[in-house]
Formats: sequence, C-alpha cells, structure tokens
Amino acid sequence: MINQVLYIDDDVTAQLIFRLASNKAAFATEVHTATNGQQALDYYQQLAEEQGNQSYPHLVLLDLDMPVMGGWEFLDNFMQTYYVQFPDTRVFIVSSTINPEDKQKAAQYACVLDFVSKPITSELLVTLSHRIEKQ
Amino acid sequence: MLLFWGKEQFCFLNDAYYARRPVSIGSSAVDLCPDLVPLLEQVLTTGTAVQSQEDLLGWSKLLIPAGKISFSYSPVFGDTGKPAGALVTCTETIQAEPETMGTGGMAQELILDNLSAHIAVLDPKGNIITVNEAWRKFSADNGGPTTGFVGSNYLLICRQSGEDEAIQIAEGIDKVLRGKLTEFTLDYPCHSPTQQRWFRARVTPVLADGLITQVVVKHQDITEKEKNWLLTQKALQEKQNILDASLDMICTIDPEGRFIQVSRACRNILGYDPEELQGVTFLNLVSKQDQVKTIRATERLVAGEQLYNFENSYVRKDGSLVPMAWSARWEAKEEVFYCVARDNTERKRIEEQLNLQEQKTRTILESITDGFGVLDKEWKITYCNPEAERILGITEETAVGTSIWDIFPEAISLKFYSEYQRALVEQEPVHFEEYLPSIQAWLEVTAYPSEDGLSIYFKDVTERIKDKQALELSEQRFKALVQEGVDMIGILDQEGNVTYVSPTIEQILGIPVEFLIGKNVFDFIHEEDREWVFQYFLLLGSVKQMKLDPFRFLDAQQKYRWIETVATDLLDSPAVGGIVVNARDITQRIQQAQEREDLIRELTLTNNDLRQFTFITSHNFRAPLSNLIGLLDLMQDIPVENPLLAELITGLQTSTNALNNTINDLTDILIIKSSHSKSGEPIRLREVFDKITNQLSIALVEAQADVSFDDTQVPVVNYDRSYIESIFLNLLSNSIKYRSYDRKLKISITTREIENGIQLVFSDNGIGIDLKRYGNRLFGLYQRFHDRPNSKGFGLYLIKSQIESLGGSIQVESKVNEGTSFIITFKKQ
Repeated sequence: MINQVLYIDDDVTAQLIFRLASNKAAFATEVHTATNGQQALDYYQQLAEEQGNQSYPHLVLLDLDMPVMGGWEFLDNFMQTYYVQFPDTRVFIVSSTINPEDKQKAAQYACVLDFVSKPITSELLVTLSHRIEKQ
Repeated sequence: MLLFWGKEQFCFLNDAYYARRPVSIGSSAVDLCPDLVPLLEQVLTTGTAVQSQEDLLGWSKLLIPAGKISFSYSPVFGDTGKPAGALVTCTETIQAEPETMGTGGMAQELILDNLSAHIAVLDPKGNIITVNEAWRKFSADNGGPTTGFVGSNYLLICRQSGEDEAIQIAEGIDKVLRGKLTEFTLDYPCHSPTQQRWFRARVTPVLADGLITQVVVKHQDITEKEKNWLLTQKALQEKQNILDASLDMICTIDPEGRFIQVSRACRNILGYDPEELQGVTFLNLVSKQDQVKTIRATERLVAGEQLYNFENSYVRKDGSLVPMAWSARWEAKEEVFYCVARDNTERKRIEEQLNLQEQKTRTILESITDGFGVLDKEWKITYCNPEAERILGITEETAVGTSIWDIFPEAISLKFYSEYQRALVEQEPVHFEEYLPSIQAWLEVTAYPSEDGLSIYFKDVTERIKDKQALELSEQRFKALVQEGVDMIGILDQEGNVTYVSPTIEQILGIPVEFLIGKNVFDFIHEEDREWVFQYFLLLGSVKQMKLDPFRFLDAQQKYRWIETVATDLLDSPAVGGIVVNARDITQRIQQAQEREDLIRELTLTNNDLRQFTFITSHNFRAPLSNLIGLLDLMQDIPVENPLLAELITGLQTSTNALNNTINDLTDILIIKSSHSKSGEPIRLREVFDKITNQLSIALVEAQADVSFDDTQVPVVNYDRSYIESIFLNLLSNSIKYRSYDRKLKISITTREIENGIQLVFSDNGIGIDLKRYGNRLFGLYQRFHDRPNSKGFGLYLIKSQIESLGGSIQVESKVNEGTSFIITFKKQ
C-alpha cells in the first residue's frame, strides 16, 4: 500500500470517485487533494517549510485541464522548485484529453510514469500499485 | 574542119574552125550541136560521105549568111577499119569549089595531113601507098627524104635500118598484114641529138570485105606522155626516198600478212634491212604476248576499221623487244595493208614517267580530304578520289567512263549543271554550294576548267548548312517571339538604360517603345525591389545569365506589375552589345499565388482552431462521462433493494456505456485523421493474423469458421501495427458478423504483389452486400445495411480512414448471398 497520494483535479466528483476507489482498492493510507496546480504548489511549499518532516506523497495523480493553474504549469514549477527536495515523487497524469501532443509532452518529465485515462476505477488503481511496486 | 571521133567528141579541129568558133577538144557533139547527131550516126553506120548545105553545126547563122557555106561529112575509118569518126568540112561557097570539093582521096589526104601523128598507109606487101604531111615533115626534120616515100617498101626500110625497134615494128606490121595480130603497138625512144623523144608505133589494118587491103602505120610522138611517166617514176622514187627518210617504218603488207615493201626505217627500228623483210610474215616478228591482240587488230582492219596508235611490241633482229605503235588501213581494192609504225620506246618511257607522275598526283589526290573528281568534256568521270567515292556513294571502278548526269540525273536541274557549264564556257573556276538530293548532302564545290574538261573539288558541308539553317530558323523564331510573343525583350546598356525594347511591351505594359528607349529601367522598378534587383544587375558579367525573382515594374497606368525576368550578358557579343532582358508579366500568377497562400493560411488556422475545439469538446465530454462510469462502477458493490431503482441503475449503466463507446470511436477517428502520416514498421502478417484470430477464437469456433491464410507472396509489410491489427480485426469480425447461417463460414486471406504495391485480400462466403444499392455508402460513418448484433456501421469507416491515412486504398467486390471480398492495396515502400 502506498503511504501518501496527492490527487490534483478540479473535478470534485472525480475527487470523490478517487477517494472511494482508493478505499475500495486499499490503494493509499493517506489521500491529499488539490483542485488546481497552485493549490498543489502551496501544499508543497508548506511541506517544505515544515522542517524535519520527511514524509511526503510519493505518488501524484495529476489532471491537466484545471482553472488557475493547469497540470503542465504545475509540473514545470514543481520540477524547478521542489523536485530536489522530494525526489521520490512519481506522477501519473490522469486526464480525459485525447490530444496526442499531451502524451508526447508527458514523456519529457522524468518523474512522470505514465498517462492514464479516466475514469479511475479500483481495478485501475490495483494495476497502478503493481507498477509502482515494480519500480 | 573538124573531126568527130565516135559521135560525140571533137577530137580535132583546125585553126580555120577555131577562128570561127572556139570550142575545146573533147566537147560533146550532143551538147554542142544536137542537130548534127542523126547525120553523124548515118555517116558512122553507112561509112559513106554526105554533103549538105544545111548548117547543122549551128554556128553559121552567126557568122556567115545561110547558103554561102557547104558542109561535107566524110567517114573516117578507125584502127578496126570500121567508121570510127566523121570529118566535117565546112567550105564557104564563095571559094573555089573544085579545090575544096575534090575526090574522096584528096579529102582523105587532107585529113591525114592535118593529123599530128605520122601516118603512112601501106599495101598488103608493105609498100607505102601514102604518107601524111607530119610524116614528111618528120623525115625532113630528121635529115631524111622529103619525097619519094610512096612506093617504097616500109618493111624493108625498117629492116634495113638495123635498129631493134624498127625491126620489131617491121615484124609487127608483117603480123598485122598476115592477120596474126589485129593490132600492133610499140613504144620506143627516138632521141634526136637535141631532145629526148618517145614514139608509139601503132599498126592497124584497113579491111575491105573481110580482107586486109591496107595497113595504117602511125608514129605518134608520146614524148610528153613518156616524160610524164618518167616524172611519175621519179616522183615515186622521191616519195620512196621521203618514205625512207621517215623515222617511221612505212610498209605495205599483202593479204597473207607478208611484207611487200618496207621503208628503210626498219633498219633502225627492227634491225632488218627492208629487203630482208620483203616476203616475211609480219606476225612472226610480233612478240608472243602481243600476237593475239595483233591478230584481232588485223581482223578489225579488214572489217574496215582504221587503226591508230595500236600498240604492240616486235622482236628485233638482235632478239630484243621494241614497243611499236601502228597506224594502218586496209585497202580492199588493192588488197594491201598500208601501215605506218613508230618506235614507241621513247613514248613508252615518257608514258611511264607520266604514269609515275600521275601516280604521284593520284596519291596526293587520294590523300586529300576533299572530294576530287575529273570530268572530260563529255561529262564523263575520268577520275575520282576515295573521299569523292565516300561522299557520293560511288566507286571509281564503276563511275569512270560514266557521265555524271547519268549517275546524278537530278543534278541537271540544280546548280551543278549550270555552274559546270559556265566553268567550261567561260574557262573560269566556279564556286558554289548546292544540295544533292540523292545523297542528302550539301556540297561545297569548286570546279576548275582544264583543257580536257573539269577538275572538281568538293566537300560535304551538310552539318555546316544545317547549323546555318538552324540559326536562321532560330532567328525567325526569335523575331516571332520578339514581335508577337507574350514576352518582352529589351536590351540594356551597362547602366540599365534601355537601348532596345520589343513592341510587345506596348501590349503588355501599355508603354510605347519610343517612350522607354533611353530611360533607365530602375526608375520603373518598385522602390522596395529596386535595391536587390540592382545588386543582381551588378553581378552580370561574372554571371552570364540569371533568372531574377519576380519584382514590380511600373506600367503606363502607374500601377505596378509583377514581372519575371531572365537577364543575359551579351555585352561582348558584337551583334548585341548589351544586356538582353527577357521579361514576362506574371502579375496575375503572383496575385493568384498570393490569394492561394492567404487561403491556405486561413484554412490552416481554422483547421487548427477546429482541432483544438474538438479536443476541448472531447475532453469536456469525456470528463463527466468518466465520472459517470466511475460512479456506476462504485455503485456495483452497493446492494440495491428497490427493484425499480435497480432497473433504473441498469438503464443508466447501458446508456453510459453506449455514450462512452461512441465517444471513444469518434476519438479514434479524430486521432487518425489528425495524425500526419504515421511512420511504418516492418510487420509480419502471420503474427497479426495469429493475434487477431486468437482474440476472435471464441466467435470463430462458434461460427465454425474455416479460415485460410496465405502470406507466401508478401510475408512482411511496412505499416502501422495498430492499423494492421485494426484491419484484420474489423474485417474478420465483419465476416463473422455477416456470415450466412445456411453454410459454414469460409474466410480466405491472401496476399499478392502488384506493380507498385501490395494487396491484401479478405474473402468470405457470407451474405454479401448489394453494392448497387449501398456501394457508395459502404464505407460511410455509421452506415448499417444488415440487422445483425453489434452492427455499428463503424468498422469499415475506421479501416478506410486508417488505410487512406497511409496512402493506401480499399475496394470491395460482393454478390448478395455469395460473399464479399475486400481488396486492400498498400503502397510499396
């Protein structure tokens, strides 16, 4: 089981579904959520400021299309500012996009493991946890 | 007095007659006095004298009044004793009649006296009956008696003289008298102390009633004749001397081929004396090798031909050979060959020298690169060198002796004839160029007249002429282009000032030619283009020709036109001396291209917008749909007790799934359509087949399908793997879906190579499709023609999109209730 997961999505329903599926699949002990990139960056900023706290989410599920700050912008900032401090962070991009350019772009980030399509189901989470363990 | 001999000829006339009427001896009585002829005939046939007062001679009227003259016609007996002539005596009656008209004997004497020959008449015993005046005179002149002849025996006189000739004459007379000779003649010399004389003694009998009653002895002076003969002999001798003096051997040869007479030259030529050759058969002297042709020549001579410069060689007395040249003629009447032969040694030598010279000339002629030929005055070819043979396509062997007009009849109407004729007539060399059709070549010809004809040098100049003609043609084309073309042609000086511009500029830019001449072109070029055009212009010189990008040029309406130009530096060309600019108005083209570019840009933008729009829309569709699916998925674990709710939830689930499928399908299509040509990879078709049949195994078993696969022709294709799989999956599942329930399903998949491509053929024995009815909609999106489970009308649309996105194509063949074949063609990579 994964310790902490950060789920970044502006879709509240999707957040609900993720929580339920995660519970069902016993995917993670702790689920943090953010509704856009900026919120997520704020979360990392807070983590960084809390000195001595060695615990941080090793898995981030990231939507791309969000208000205030989208997924790509978040990734850029995160990689620039926080990746060094949280090097074990792995990212799955979760999106309903069909734009092939997005998939190509995702491959450019070292921390991004894959691109997964919604909906998030318990079966999908089981598969994901297998892939993370293999790493 | 005149004497006719026979009935026609005057043979004598005396002075008296001559004084009255000068006629020449030998004139014809028939011509002179035709009226006399019957009377003459009478006298000659009867032998009796006739007297007449009538003037039958036709002259008295002129001189003497008629009736004052009388004519007597007395016969004169010839050597045979028959009347051979008639003596006509014309006597003016005024004179004493008895004297003139004496007895017949008187008359006869008178006649005899007037004859120049010495005549004596003898009786059968040889006694002289009478002599004439000439006889007496001769005797007197030669110191003999003047009278007393009559009665003496002439035979005795002759015999007593002791001279051979006289004795012979006496015997001759004796023989005539005795009838042993009908006539006796002897020519004898009788030279006087002062002059040489010859006489002819002639003895003829006078017959009366068949008996010899008298003989006439006649001594005629034939000195003149004899002298002539001697002269002739002398002349002949002289001629012989001349002949002998000749360097040529002159000879006569008899019909048997023996020398009759040979001139002395034979001594030098053949080494024989003329006497040695007489009677020798000439052929024996001819060298062996020339005998046959000499015999032939002789035959030709006899046939009437004349021989000139017939050459053969003779064997000299010393055994050496001497070349001879013969001119000869056969005189048929005399049966003699007249021949003149010349020692040909010198000539041969000269000939050989000439031959050598000619050989040299020939060698030179044959090695010259021009064609060379010689014609005689009858246009016959006497020589042509190998180059001439090559150019004219003739051989010297066959051409020599033939008239050039026979070989090239078409040339008569061309310059060849007229020019050659001119050269011959004017004796001036001619030079011309002409086309000779039979050899399809242009010849450059120089002909020099010579004594024997023409010497002709010629060259095949076809290439040069062709070039020239091509140049002329291109000049014509150029003119046409300049004056009527759509191009404007201008010539500029180094500063860009116009020195020439074609009239087309008026039609195209509306600028009059005169207006532009002398102006600088850069003043007309749009200021934005001026600088770069000028830079290019400066490059000319190092670059001979350049094509400039279109630039704007001011027209007569002060509007800019786009022109495209090619500039060529011909400043060095003396004919042009400037920069030739070939310009074309392409304003319309530029405008069209501009419009097209604008359109494309606009369309691309729109298209991109649309794509983005689609992605956003799709995303916005999918996000809530995903949630719906996720929620329904989570609901599955929660037991629902209300049956109605359970049913509603099921309905919700079904609808959500259907919506999801549709969205997914459309997404797939969107991705295929928007992706730019995917790169292919080598794919084993067998692998794909195995994978898909495995996926469909349950359905295939269910349909009891018999699937055959043949990839022997094309085992590997270069393609997008997912597309290939999609093609196999969709077509195989279609075959299953639309199988006939009446028979076992058979599917065959084959590959084949065609020109420029590869084909994949899927055939089944399913229910088929009515192509007439549905053909045009078959590959449409969401087109369904059969009510079969899971029929969405999407698969064919999908694979068609996939195939076409990689530049392939798909065709269908089908018969209702028999089966369907899909033929997919890939481009060969």
